[in-house]
Amino acid sequence: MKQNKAYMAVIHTIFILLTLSFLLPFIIIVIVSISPESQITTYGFQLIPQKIDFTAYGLVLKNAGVLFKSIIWTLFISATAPALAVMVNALMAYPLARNDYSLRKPVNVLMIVSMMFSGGLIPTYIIYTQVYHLGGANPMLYWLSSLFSVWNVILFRTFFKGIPAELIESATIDGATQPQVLFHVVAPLSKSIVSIQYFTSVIARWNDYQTSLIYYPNNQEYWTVQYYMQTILQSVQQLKASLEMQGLRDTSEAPVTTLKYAMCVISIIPVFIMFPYVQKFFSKGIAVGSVKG
Amino acid sequence: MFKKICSVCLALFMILGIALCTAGCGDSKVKLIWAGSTLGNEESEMVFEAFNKELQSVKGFENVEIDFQKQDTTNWQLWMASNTQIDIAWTGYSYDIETEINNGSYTALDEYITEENTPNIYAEKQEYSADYASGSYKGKQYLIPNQQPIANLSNILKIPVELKDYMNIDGVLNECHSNKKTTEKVYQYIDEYLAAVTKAHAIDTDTVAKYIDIQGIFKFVATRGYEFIGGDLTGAWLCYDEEDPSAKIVNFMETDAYRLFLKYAAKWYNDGYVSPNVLVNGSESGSRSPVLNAHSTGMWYATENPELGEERGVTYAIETDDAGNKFITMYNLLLETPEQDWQGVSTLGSEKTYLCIPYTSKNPEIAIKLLDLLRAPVGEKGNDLLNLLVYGFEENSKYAEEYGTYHYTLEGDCAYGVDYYAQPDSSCKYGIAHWFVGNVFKTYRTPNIQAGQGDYVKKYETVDRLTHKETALCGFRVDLSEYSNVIANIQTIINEYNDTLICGIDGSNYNATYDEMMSKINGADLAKVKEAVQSQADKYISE
Repeated sequence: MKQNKAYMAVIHTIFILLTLSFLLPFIIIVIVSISPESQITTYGFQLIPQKIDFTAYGLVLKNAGVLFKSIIWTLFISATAPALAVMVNALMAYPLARNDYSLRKPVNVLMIVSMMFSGGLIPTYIIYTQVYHLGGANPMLYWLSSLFSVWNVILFRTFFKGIPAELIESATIDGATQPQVLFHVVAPLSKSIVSIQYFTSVIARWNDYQTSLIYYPNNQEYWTVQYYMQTILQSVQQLKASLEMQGLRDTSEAPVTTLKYAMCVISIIPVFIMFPYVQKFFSKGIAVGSVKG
Repeated sequence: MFKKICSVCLALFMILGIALCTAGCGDSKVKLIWAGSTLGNEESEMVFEAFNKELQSVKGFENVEIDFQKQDTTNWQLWMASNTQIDIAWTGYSYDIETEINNGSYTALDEYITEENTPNIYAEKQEYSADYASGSYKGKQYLIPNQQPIANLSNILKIPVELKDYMNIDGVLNECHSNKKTTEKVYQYIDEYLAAVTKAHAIDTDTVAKYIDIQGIFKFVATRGYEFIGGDLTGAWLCYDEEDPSAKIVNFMETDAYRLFLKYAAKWYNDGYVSPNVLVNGSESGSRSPVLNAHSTGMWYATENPELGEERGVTYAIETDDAGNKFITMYNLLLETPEQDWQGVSTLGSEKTYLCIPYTSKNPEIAIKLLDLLRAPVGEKGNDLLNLLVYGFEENSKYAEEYGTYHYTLEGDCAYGVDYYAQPDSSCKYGIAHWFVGNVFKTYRTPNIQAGQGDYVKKYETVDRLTHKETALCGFRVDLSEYSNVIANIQTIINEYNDTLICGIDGSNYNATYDEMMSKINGADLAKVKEAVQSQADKYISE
């Protein structure tokens, strides 16, 4: 019994230390974001700040209207684009998981080839902007660019294959059509994979700044919050460099470092809010495809 | 009946189609795409709309419309790779100009810049010949420089104002102004200053960090008097003594100047003046906090704050309190006089900010004419357009009334931005940095530029600087493309050792580390690169 207690104490200590090691970086991020820039350059990162300073947050919030608009826009994209993507990927994966679908092999090959040898950024850019004339005033790219992912289709296909064929067969015997089988039998059993795919896509969309940077740099209406913050950081860096170059004013308090960390904190907020709701699906979903045989 | 309805519909459809096509054909507007990296503010579209309206009232531009695009290095690469139409773009700072030229990204402008076609640019090219030379490559003009209010880039030592009495300022200035290279005496002055400050416990750690900016001092103090081939501390760090008429090429690590600095770096580290975390957190740079800091400043013009008693040779960093009173925070000791600003190796891109016409331009003739229009003399329509583009709507202008917003107020020739002091950022309602789209001396100034400063800099750039002494390799351009791998190897070795050495981390054992670095550098064929550069330099001198 004693031995068991000691064992548990050791295990608990190890896990407490492990938890702290995960928490500590985040705590430091928050602390740096509320520290004065001069303190960071002088003393480096500290766990207990000598002064509290919200200059970096002030800069992010300086243009609250644009920030608010970009948050709303990003939330909208983050909610809708992953939903569409999950639907498209699932619809693509379902027939590929069925053994009675005759074209599954050639389609699989096509998908795998396109995944292994993707065109890359420049051809993609040419196709979007010069063939489909997307970007600029047309925000469709926020949905279209992430609509289909071979990797996600493979994950879905693997999961669907794990659903007992007898269930599908019995539904078919009962007279269910293929869409009915998908939506009434397969979909309810696939909550975990749908959740994990939706959650990871939401995070990707929330953190996306490249779409705004490449396709919508002129249109503030369509800026994501990450891109908006990126432009602030760039402005501060440019301003600091330019003033130093001219040697005209002291630029000591331009909060380049603290601004980066304030941006980290703001970026992580939606993840914090969402995670508790999807956590239960996380372990199931993430393990899809990992069990063989 | 059905066939008849179909026929009528088809006829209507064809008529409509032809009408639309005709309407499209009648729209003979020329669209110019202008890309720039600080565009994209909340009210940018309003200003661009007004700019286009004004532009269309100028003869020759009636049918021209400008579409402004926000530029970024990523976008730029995509545009160039995908042949996307860009008629005017900004370049400089973060762009490798030589690579871009070799990639064919820029249009050569020589055939467009003529007295008849672009009189303003043509005149400016004659006047600011050195600036324009920095935008030319192998005899061709690729870039149009944006003149900045900068004269005589001088290295500076920055001291917190509360510690100025501990430094022998006159001693440092006299020593530097009489020697192009940094002598041991300068390091001794610095050493005495640090010792005195420490002994007197004079550092208030709330405002001043006790550590020095060792990397900055190395970069801006130790390298004085050497001109680096390529213009910066990159590659194989090849340089020559500016006063040497034969321009003997050396690797900077081989010089006495480097060894001398290492000696003091090691001492200062041992004495506790260098942060033990310097390799992790970096030096105390760009901040008023460090007990001693070094940088480079663009202005010798020393009457920025005459009311505070500023004198030639020392400028001040200032802040303003809530009541609007200025107070000094730092003393900047300018280590070079304007006369010490010799003309040296012409470094492509040294002006740092340029406009170019990319190869993807569909209308290069109109683009260059537009740039010429925006360089019109002060008071002309083109100059008004330039100010509109840079500053947006003036408080009492017709556009302020029309759009119900304004971006600056005008007092004399000074534009006070409604939400910025020196230059706008992306969170401002509108504004483009004035060094970004043309000749700064033709736009209104911002309050951080003193009245008359433009005239001073212009005289310096166009008259004084041209009379300065030339180094042996003035105008020399080296071609090291054959040795890029060797240089990359040497750079890797330097990166591995240099920071440790110049921060004094090894204390008094620095000699062993130094020897190890030099043996590796020599083993990486440094001699071959030196020889190649020396042979090109000798040829240049003999010609």
